[in-house]
Amino acid sequence: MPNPRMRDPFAPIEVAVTSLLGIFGLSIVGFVLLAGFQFALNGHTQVSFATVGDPSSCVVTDAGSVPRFIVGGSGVRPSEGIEGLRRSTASADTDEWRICLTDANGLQWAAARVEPIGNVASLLVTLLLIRGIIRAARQSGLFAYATARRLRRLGWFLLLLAALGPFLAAAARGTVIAAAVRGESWTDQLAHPHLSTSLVCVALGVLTFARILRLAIPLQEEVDATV
Amino acid sequence: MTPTTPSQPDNRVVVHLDKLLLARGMTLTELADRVGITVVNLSILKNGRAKAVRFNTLTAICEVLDCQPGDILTVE
Repeated sequence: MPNPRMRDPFAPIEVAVTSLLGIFGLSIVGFVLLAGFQFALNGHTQVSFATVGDPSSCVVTDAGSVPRFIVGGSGVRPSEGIEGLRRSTASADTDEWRICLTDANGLQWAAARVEPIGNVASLLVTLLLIRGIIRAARQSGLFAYATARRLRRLGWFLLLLAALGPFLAAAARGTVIAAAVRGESWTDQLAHPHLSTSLVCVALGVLTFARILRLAIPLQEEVDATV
Repeated sequence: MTPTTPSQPDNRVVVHLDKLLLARGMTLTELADRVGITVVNLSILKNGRAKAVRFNTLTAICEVLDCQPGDILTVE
């Protein structure tokens, strides 16, 4: 019989995951309704969700990752447009460029959407995997092989996401930049993949915890069989 | 009544709880009430499915049944 004074260990994460999934679902429903309403009225829509519905094909990249654009370009830096900047006592700079294609082909259109859609999709998959772990733990118990297996699956997913996601995003970003900037190749961005060391640490932490859980299962079984 | 043989292959400890209960004219439920542990746990012990017994459980059973641990457990 569970101790009524003992707090549910899954309550905080379950509330967070359920809330995020709810917000996610509401956003999609809201987007579909609003876009459909606008489309029915005007024949086109101005709302977008993770760049879906966005008419332009844009990517955001580090200023330093497009050297020709910075050094040889004659464009105005965004910081120069700050109104009221006291140039005698202050300076401002930007480390990001937003590069948009006005007439993107199908591949470039898709490439511009890889990163934002990928971010949303990976968040959704992560939330669903966490919900799966919570459900497995509630059904089979925390110290169960099913729970450990699901936790391990989440760890591998996060590790693959941390290792491959940035390169896929960089290749997609490079495709748009190569079309927008003369002398740029889609492979140039692969040198600036924006690897997330914190995500790698989290993934390794989850994998380690899954391994500890698997080792703890026989110990828990012994405790359960102790009278 | 035959003593309960262990269910684990490496375990050769035999539990004689049923014999002691019969001798004292006591039921498992009554023993569970007096010892303060659940019937389910006592049943696990009686049927040889327990992997370990806590000293305080053994002490409580021995006090109620007026016996020694060796009367409850023997090694085959």
